[in-house]
Amino acid sequence: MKRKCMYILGIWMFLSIPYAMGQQSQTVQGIIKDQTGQVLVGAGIRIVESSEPGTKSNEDGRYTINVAPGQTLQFSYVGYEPKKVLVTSEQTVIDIVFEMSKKQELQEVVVIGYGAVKKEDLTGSVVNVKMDDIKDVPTLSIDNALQGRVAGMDVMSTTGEPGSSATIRIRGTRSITADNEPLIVVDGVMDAVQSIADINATDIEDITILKDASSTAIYGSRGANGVIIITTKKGFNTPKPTIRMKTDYGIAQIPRYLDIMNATEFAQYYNDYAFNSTTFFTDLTPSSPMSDYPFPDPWAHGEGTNWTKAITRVAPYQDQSLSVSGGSNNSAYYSSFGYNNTDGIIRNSGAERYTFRFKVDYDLLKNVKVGYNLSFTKRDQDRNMAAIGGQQPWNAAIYLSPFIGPEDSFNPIYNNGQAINNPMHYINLGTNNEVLQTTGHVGYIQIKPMRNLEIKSQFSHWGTQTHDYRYESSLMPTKSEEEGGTAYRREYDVTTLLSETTASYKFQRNNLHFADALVGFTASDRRYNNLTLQGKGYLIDDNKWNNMNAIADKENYTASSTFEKVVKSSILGRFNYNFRNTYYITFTGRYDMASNFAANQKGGFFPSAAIKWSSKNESFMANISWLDELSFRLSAGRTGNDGIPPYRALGALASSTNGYLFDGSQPLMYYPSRLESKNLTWEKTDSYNAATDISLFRNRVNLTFEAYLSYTRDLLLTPQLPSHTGFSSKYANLGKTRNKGVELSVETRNIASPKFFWRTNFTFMRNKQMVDDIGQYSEVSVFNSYGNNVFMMYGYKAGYPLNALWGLQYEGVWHDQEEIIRNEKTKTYVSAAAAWYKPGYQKYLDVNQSGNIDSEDLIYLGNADPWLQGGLQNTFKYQKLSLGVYVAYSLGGKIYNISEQWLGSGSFSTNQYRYMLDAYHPIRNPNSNLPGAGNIDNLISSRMVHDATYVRLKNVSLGYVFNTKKVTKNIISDVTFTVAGENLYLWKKYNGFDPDVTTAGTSSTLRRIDNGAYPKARTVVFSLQLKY
Amino acid sequence: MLKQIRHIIIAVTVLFGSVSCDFDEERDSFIDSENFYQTKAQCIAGLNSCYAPLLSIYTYQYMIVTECTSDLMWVASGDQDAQMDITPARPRFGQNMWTQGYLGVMRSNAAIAGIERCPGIDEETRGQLKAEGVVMRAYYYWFLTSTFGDVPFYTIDVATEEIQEEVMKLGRMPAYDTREYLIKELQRYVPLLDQIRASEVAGNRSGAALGWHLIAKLAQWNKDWETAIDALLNIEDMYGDLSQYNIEDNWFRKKNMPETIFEIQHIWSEGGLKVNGNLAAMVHPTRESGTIYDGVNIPEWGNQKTTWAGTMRPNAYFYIGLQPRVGNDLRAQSNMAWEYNGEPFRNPASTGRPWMGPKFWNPDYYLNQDGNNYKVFRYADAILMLAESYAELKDYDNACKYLNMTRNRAGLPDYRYTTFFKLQEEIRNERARELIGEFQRKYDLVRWDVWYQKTREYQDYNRIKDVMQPCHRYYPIPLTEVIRSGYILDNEEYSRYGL
Repeated sequence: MKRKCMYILGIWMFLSIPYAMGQQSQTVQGIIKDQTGQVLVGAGIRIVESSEPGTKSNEDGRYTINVAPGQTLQFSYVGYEPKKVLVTSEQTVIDIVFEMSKKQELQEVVVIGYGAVKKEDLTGSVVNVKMDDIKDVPTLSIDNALQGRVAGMDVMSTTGEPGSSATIRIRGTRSITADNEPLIVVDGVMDAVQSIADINATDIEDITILKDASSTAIYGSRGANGVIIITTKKGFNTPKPTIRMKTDYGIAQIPRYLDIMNATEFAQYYNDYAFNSTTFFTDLTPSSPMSDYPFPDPWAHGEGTNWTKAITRVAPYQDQSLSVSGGSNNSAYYSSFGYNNTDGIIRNSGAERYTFRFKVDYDLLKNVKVGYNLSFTKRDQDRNMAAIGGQQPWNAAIYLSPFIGPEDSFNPIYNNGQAINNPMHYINLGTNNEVLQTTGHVGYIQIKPMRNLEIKSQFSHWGTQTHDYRYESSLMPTKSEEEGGTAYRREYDVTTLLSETTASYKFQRNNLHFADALVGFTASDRRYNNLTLQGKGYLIDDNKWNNMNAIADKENYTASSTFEKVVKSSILGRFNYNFRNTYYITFTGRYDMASNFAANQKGGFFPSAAIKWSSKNESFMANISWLDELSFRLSAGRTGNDGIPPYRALGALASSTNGYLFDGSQPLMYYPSRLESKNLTWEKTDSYNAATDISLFRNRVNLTFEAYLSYTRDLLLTPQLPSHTGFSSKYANLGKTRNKGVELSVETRNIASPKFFWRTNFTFMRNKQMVDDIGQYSEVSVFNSYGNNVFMMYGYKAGYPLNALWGLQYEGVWHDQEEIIRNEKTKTYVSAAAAWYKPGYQKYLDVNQSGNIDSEDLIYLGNADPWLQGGLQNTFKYQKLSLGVYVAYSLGGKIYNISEQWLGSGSFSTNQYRYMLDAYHPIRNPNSNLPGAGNIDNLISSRMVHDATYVRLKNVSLGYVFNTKKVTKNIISDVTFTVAGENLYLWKKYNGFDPDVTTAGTSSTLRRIDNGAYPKARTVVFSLQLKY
Repeated sequence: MLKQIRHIIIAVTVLFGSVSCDFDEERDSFIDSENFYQTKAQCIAGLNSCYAPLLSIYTYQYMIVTECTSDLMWVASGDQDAQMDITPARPRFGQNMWTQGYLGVMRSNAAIAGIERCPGIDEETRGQLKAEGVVMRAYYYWFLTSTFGDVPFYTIDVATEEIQEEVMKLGRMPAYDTREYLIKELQRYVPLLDQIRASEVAGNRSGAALGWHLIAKLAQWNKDWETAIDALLNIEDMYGDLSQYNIEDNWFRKKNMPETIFEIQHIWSEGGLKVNGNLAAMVHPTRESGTIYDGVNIPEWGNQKTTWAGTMRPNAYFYIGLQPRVGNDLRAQSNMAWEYNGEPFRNPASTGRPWMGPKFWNPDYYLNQDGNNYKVFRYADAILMLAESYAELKDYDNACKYLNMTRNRAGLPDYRYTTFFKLQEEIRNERARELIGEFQRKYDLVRWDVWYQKTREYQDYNRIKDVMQPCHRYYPIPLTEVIRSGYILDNEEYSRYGL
């Protein structure tokens, strides 16, 4: 108490000096910006000599203050070095540019699980995404914009379809059957979105990625895959509302076509097939005139149908958003409305999204704060109906012969000719509409019962509804006359009730010892309700799914309903201590209970610890002027993965009405579908992390280097059982995987003058993932080739990378009969079947020299994971002009071109890649090693594996800010014009559309597989932003 | 202030309580076997599941396996089964048969166990329901022993992980003993079923006729001719005189005719239910374009039929030797086709080899979907089994009597006994003429121990002749299953041939 009195006395004495001088006051105004030219809202301006609280900069960064000459103005803003300016009598305008020093940047607060810490106090691997770099990216789902920006976070597109989310792996893939996607936490609520695409990017204030066990263990059994924490914007305590309007319009188009044959080339190729064929066109001899060939004049056919072109279009894009924020002394609000309409580049596909968000915080009492956050998202997606590629050679777009027209419903060259629904029929006669509605309510109360103690209790209710509407018209060409249309409806809802209460306490002593502790309790209840109806045989298409009982035959009516519930509860805690901001230690732990595991395995404890040494704070380092920071971090911990469906531990009898026919109908049947698994439990990952943070040359160069190692065990697998037990698999915790990797992030501020600013961010990441143990099986196939005799293309084998590719070793074609006879003895090579032992036919390495192709002849053909990947962002600001250029790269890694099983195999029933013009021909091209026209064997081989390396000019945005305050008389403060382009140029080696693709979706372990993916669009958008 | 805080803390605690923390899972949208099998309807629902694997077994591939790798038929297909390219590592249809066969066994065991403990039925009903389960279980073991020879045999309900562990340890058991067990069990339960013809059993369920028929099939494998005859005479009691049944009623498109003992039910209607097979696409003459089928315009067959490239055809041994076109056998025109309404097909005209005939066709099939019922067991089969059993017992009068029943119905004269071996051969040939394409020929040849010799001699597909080994009489247990069992299962016979 005595000391406090001394302070007050001192301040009073200090303040009294200027008043004693008795100067006249004058009005000073100006604008406050940071070094990047961004205006700073809410910066504090006060007169050093005065006891008055001073003023704050408004939403335009402007301030006005009355000050007497000779007094000193102090400008302050969180995270920046305060500035002092002595005011002279001539000065009426004082503009301030804050420079952020590393020291101050470290004072920035970073959101982590259940709290926030100063950046300098971070002990774990936590990355904050620069929202400024990604805010102009024209995408519905912000995760697509994060690719390559965070070292250690591998973001891969699923497909190019509007509304499709990316698949994200943080530090690799660990699990084989359970989910590998990171946990997404929005405003402190787990699972508060169905997908990141539910969030309007302009609402996002901040994205933080938690990577190591030290930072994710607070999420216990949910933390093993890493955590993405998204914080949305909130209001300021300023009475005048800030209104922002942003409108984007743009267009998207397919960036490239495949290099496949046109009608003329295909006619030539087909003539070669006719010549080679021994079953059809057998009269052709080398001296036959052209008139004997099926296409006597190939050139007469011109280009024919470019099927990819036929199904694609130039698609419009628009995004509108409006936000209003403001507040009073004791309250703040933020509300926003967003609308996005992304039409797909394939006809009749696209996504529309409406978002609404309202957030209010209110100081109820001096120490009690309450708040409420409402979010609503509606997404309306017309899913693509057209088959593009994949394993549908009879009717997918890229396979169709250029002779087939968009109206044709018969594929004359497939299977002796067969009726098909071509892609245009699917587009015009099919509908697959999905409407998702998500509503979230979050309420919290925050109490500070005493100094340094804060108790926060948060309740959230989140509900998402999915409505699926599908219809296939009765006019589909392959339907028989009376078959009728097919309708499908699904009503699916998920509701989550989550309660989380945490108490945190801060402690410090003598400015040497700093500690804080957090304890918490959470409970959640999640329910899934599903109802589907499907009917076949609607006589008239007009009602689609809206009158499903109008069905011709009730036997063709299928209904299903299910209900699932998962209950979880946890206790969590964290303790941080540091001595002199130099030596840090953190302990984190969480005990989880969840209903979806076996009765005696419901609980699990997930601890972690981290230490850090911030060496620059040591006295012996203080003199090294070029070094601003050098710290070392180490962490270790265990996290879990509970991402498996509920009820797997319980035995079950399933029911079906799709069984045997009794008297012309399929009555109900019940049958055992799985046995109880008494010991089913979480997958566990033990991970270790070592890192260093370095800042050099007055913070012009900042580096973070991290290395990690993680071991995952108790992998939930479905080991195959001898089928004679009647069950061919069960759930069990077997299997081990391992990930190791290194990450480097570099940020350089190349030029940082008030007028011109240039920053570069570079990320490098490399992850290696291995399968150590997959129980008793020698291999687990996850993707097979197509055809009568299937072979593993992607699969797991102990001792090989998780994303390994498998196939036969292509050895060219047989060139003469002698070679074939010789091989009968040596058995070096093997062909598909007896008929393939002829010149011009494919041969493969016979690994086990069995004379037959079998699974032992499959060899390891590479790893789908890249050797190195990352991104390079360059940001330039010159006065009011800004330019951002972002390049994402991925080097190494392999990908199968699945379509080459037909498009490059000598198929006579599908179109071909142009390189097949160079195929083997006994007279014209006898030395070629490409299979002759017609010699398809449907086998997968090393010939179809490609280097997945790519470098993409992913995003460029150019913006200009007009200050319109004077022109519009303070109504509109500024106008920003931006032109942004996405996916502008792609340099690749892969001969498919794009190597950045995973059609297996987000849930699968399988990465980088192109099974007929929707091509990614090239998008250019013009944007206008107004601020009131 | 403190008071307010206390209120708030209490409120928070109350809110906590509202989130329940019961971690026991309840079966909300599925059930377990403990709370099932309480009523007759539930028992029937359990029995229904025992039939479902039949739909996965009786496919065109099964036709290839049982008929096209025998002396009677061939299919020039790249399919491994069709080429006899079968090893433990390439089990092809063997994998399907193994999985589906044991799926049927497991489901039958579960249904039987459920029926045994069902509280809601009287003893007579229990006996009848159980009998149906016993018949189905025997049917699956008949598939398994006929296809693989010695196989693991168990009748326990695999209801827990512990039982599953036990069953996993079972190795091959002598098929003879398995059949003995099944025969005894069937003999006990089949009499409990209504002794009526299969076509009269409600809902096309398996009935007494199938039960007796299976006893005879199993007994014939065990060369227990008396048991076979006893069982078959029960069928004769129900079915009576064979001549009352029309040959053409055995066409696959004619469903559940009185002669049937068991057939696989299919249905296909344009706007209605589709539970179909696709055998028709492999037996119809090739559609060239439009409604032209191998040179003949058949508008009533439409232009939407898919005919697969590898088409099943009879071997020369059959269409020249056993059932020539010019003979008097009325069945020849059902089994095979050289022409349609007097207009000759092009391919038979040039090669002499007929297409499979109207017995297998389906004028209404669409794309590759056909709604034909597959004929599996019928009275004529039982009659010929009687002939065979009597012949083996050297009762030549009875043997000829039954043999002549099918011969006479087909317009052939009485067969006169000369020697046992000639009679035996004649009965075997008559089975071919009567039952070609009914999913049994290979099993018969293997049972007679002549499969290798007959197939090697009479099969027209050279690829099979090149590859086939005597061990191919049975399918190998798939290698994956051998590995999964920890090598408790084996394929010794295949190892002997280096496969």
